[in-house]
Amino acid sequence: MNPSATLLACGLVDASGIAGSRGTDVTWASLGTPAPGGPSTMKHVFDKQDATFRRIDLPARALVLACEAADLGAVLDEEQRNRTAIVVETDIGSLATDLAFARSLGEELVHAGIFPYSLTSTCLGEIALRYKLRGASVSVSVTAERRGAALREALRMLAGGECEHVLTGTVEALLEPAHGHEAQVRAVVALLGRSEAADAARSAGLGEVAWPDERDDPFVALARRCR
Amino acid sequence: MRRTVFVAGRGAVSGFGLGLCALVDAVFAGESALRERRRTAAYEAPTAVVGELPPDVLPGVAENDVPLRAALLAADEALEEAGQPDRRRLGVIYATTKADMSGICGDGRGLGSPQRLALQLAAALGSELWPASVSCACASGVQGVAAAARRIAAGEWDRAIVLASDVINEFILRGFGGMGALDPERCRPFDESRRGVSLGDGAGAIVLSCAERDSIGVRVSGWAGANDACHVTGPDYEGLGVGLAARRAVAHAGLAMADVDLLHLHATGTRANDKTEAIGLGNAFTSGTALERTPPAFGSKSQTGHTLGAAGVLESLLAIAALQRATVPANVGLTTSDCDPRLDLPTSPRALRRSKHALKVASGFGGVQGAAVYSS
Repeated sequence: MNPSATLLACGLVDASGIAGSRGTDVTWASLGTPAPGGPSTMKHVFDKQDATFRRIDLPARALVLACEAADLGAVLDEEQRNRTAIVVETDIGSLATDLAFARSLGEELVHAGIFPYSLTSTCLGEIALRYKLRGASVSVSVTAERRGAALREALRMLAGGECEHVLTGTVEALLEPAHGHEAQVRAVVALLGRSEAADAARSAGLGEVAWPDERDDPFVALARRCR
Repeated sequence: MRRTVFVAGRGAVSGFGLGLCALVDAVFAGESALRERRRTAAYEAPTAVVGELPPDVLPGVAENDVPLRAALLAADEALEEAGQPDRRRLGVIYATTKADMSGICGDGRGLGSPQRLALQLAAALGSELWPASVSCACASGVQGVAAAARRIAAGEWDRAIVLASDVINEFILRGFGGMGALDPERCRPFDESRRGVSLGDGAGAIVLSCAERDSIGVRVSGWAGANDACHVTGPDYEGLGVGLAARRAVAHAGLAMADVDLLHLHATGTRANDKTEAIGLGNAFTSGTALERTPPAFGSKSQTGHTLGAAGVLESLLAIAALQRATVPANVGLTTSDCDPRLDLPTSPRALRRSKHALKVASGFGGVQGAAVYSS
C-alpha cells in the first residue's frame, strides 16, 4: 500500500497567522486579533461575509479559515465539490466545547446550543456546508504521538476509487491549557486529487503527496507548503 | 482490483443483554429494551425511558468504563464466531461518539478521545497493529465498517475487528434533552405521533476477513459516505445526503438500486430525520429507475434505543440477520406513517422473496452520512 496523490491546494492556521496556496499570508498581530480569529476575520482577510463564523466552535473556525486560505471554492467546480470527501484528524477534538458543556450541567439549563460541537464531525459539517462538499466526511481521532492517519485515510479513499478529491487535514484548537493539553491553535488542510482527476482540475497542482512515514507528522510538511 | 471483504464474526451488547442472539431474537420478536430509567434516573432529562444495559451485563462497572468493557465483551463474542484468528495481526477500528468521558464529567482520565480508547482496546485484544478510530457522530459505526473494509480490500490488513460503543451518561442525555430531541416516551420512528429519539447503551463488533473460509456467508460488498452540506444539526429537506450515500454504496457494490432487497434505516424518531430520510431514500430508489418504492425497510431504535456511535454496527448486525432470515422485522412503534409513502415500512414481519443484498444507512451531526451494503 503506497498510494500518492496530487496536492491541489493547501491552507494553514497556526499561532502566528493564516497562510495558504491562495497567496494569503497574514499574521494575527497584523489583524489585531488572536487565533483562530474573531467575528470580522473572514471579512478582513478574505473580504467575505460569513454570518455564522462568529458562533462556530474553535476547531471549525480554524478549519474554515484554512480552507479559505487554500481558496477551496475556486479550485474545484461544483460537480467536483459534490463528490469531494473530507477526512480530518484531531487529538484534542472538541475538548474546549466538552468542558464548557460539562460546566453547564451544574446549571438548571444546559448550554444546548454548543452541544452539537461536542462531536468532532460537526466542524466537518461547517466546512461541507460552506463549500458544498458532498463526499464522505470522516473525523479521525489520533494521539499527538502519532499523526497522519487522516492523510493515510484520504490516500486510501483516492486509491480505492471512492472519490476523486479529498480535503484532508488536522485541527487542534484550545485557548487555555486543560487536562495536560497545552493551549494551541493549528489547522492544516490539503486538497488532494487522484492523478487523472488532478489533470482535469483547474489547479495545475502543487506537487505530489506521498504515503507518509509512520514516524513523521505529514501535516508539518504540508504546513510548510502554505507559506 | 479490490479484495472481497467477508464478515467472519459478530458480537453485541445491548439493552437486551449480552450477545448477538439476545439482540436479534428480541428485535425480530418485536420486543423493546426501552424501559424506565434506572442507572440514569438521577439525570434531569425530558424522557422517562432509555435502553440501558441490564445490570447483570457489567455488574459493578462504572458508567464511564462501559464503552471499553462492553466493546471487549462484544469483541469476545465476535472473535469466537470468527474462530479465534491470530490477534497479533488483527487490525482494530474503533467507532464512537464520545468514548470515555471520565475526565470531563468526573475525576477520571478519559477526555473523550476515541483513539486513546482504541489503543486500550487493541492492547487488551493483543493486536500488534496500530489501531484507528473514527468519530463521525451517529454514523460512526458504519464509517468504522468502511474504514476496516477499505484496509482489507486494499490488502493492507487481512483481518480486522470493528468495535463500536457508547454509553448514555448525563452529558449525552442532557445534551439531547436540551436540544428538545428526546421523546418523553418510547420513540416511534416514522409514526405520525413521533416526538423524538430514545437513547440506549450499546456495543457491537464485526470481524472482517479477506478469506472466504472465514465467512459466515456474508460480504461487505459496498460502502460510501456523503454530507448533506446543508446544516450541522438538521438534515437536508430533501434528504440529499442520505440518498447520495445510499446510491454511492450500492454503486460501490457493483449493484443497481433494484438489486437491494432490504433496507435498515437510521430512523431516529425525530420529526426532521424521519421525514427527510424517507424523501431521500424514496428519491434514491425511484429516480431514474423503474422502482416505485424502496425495498422493505426497518429501523430498530424503538427497540434498542439510539446507541449513537455503536448504532451503525449493531444495526448492521440486524441487517445481516434480516438477510439470513429472509425476513424484515416489524417497525415497532409505527402505526401510521406521515412520511414519504415511497419508503416501504412493514408494521409486521415480512418474508422476503429474495434475500441477497441489504443496505444499511446512518446519519449524524455535521451532515455526516454513511452507508454499507451487505451481500449473502
